[in-house]
Amino acid sequence: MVAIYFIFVGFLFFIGLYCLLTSRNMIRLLIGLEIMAKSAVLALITAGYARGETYFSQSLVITFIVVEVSLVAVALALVINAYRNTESLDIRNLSKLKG
Amino acid sequence: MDSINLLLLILLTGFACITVFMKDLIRAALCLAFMSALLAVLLYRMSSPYAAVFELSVVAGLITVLFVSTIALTKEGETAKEARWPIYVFPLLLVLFGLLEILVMKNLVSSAPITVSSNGTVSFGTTLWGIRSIDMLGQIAVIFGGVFGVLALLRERPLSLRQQMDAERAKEEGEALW
Repeated sequence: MVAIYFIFVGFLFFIGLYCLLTSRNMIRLLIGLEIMAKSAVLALITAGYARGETYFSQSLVITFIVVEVSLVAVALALVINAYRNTESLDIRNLSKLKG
Repeated sequence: MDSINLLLLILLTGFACITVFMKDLIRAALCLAFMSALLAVLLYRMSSPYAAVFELSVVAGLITVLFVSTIALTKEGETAKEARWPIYVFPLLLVLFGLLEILVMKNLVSSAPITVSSNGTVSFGTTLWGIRSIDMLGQIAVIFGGVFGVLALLRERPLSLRQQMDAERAKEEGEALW
């Protein structure tokens, strides 16, 4: 019944994407991104579990987690920098970035 | 499918919904950490203990600390007002997405190829440090990229000589006043 796992993977991805599309707060956008990342981790492990190759999928997940941490650290640094400039966490206040 | 795993999946999805619609950002970050802990338990139950340890220590621990620190640093400027309509539209969209997904996933998963297990011959250490050893270089590059990215983004502009003198004078005046 691997399909059930993948259905929940889809649900998690949808919830993260919904947060990403509807939120205005920059930190909340990153939280949405994190939820999508969790769905990706679950998908990788489920694929390995179904095929009986958990070692391979675990090594992929560990690489993915390292990338995820770096991404979140840099993104949060960008959020702090944007907050210093605009005194707000609202993504719409970053209109100066438009060309 | 194990009923405990199903319960964990339902809890994971429920906490994801709570995290998205929680007003307080600190509580949302803590819900995210709890989600990571649940996911770690699920990974452990799916014969992936190494991934579970990484998920629990790095994602539930380190990323939560990063989120809470950032929220604490930007607390006063938390002025981004969220619209109310996404909360009301969300259940309908979730149900529609679920129906669509059930239709797609059944066909997709049933057509996926299944290989024979190779866990009996290759260990996790051999896979990570032998077969996937090039990944380590990528991981090291990503870590350094992240570190230098944060350093570059959060660097302070050095003060000029006049600004330094002004700062020292202000400090002395403050001490005298104190």
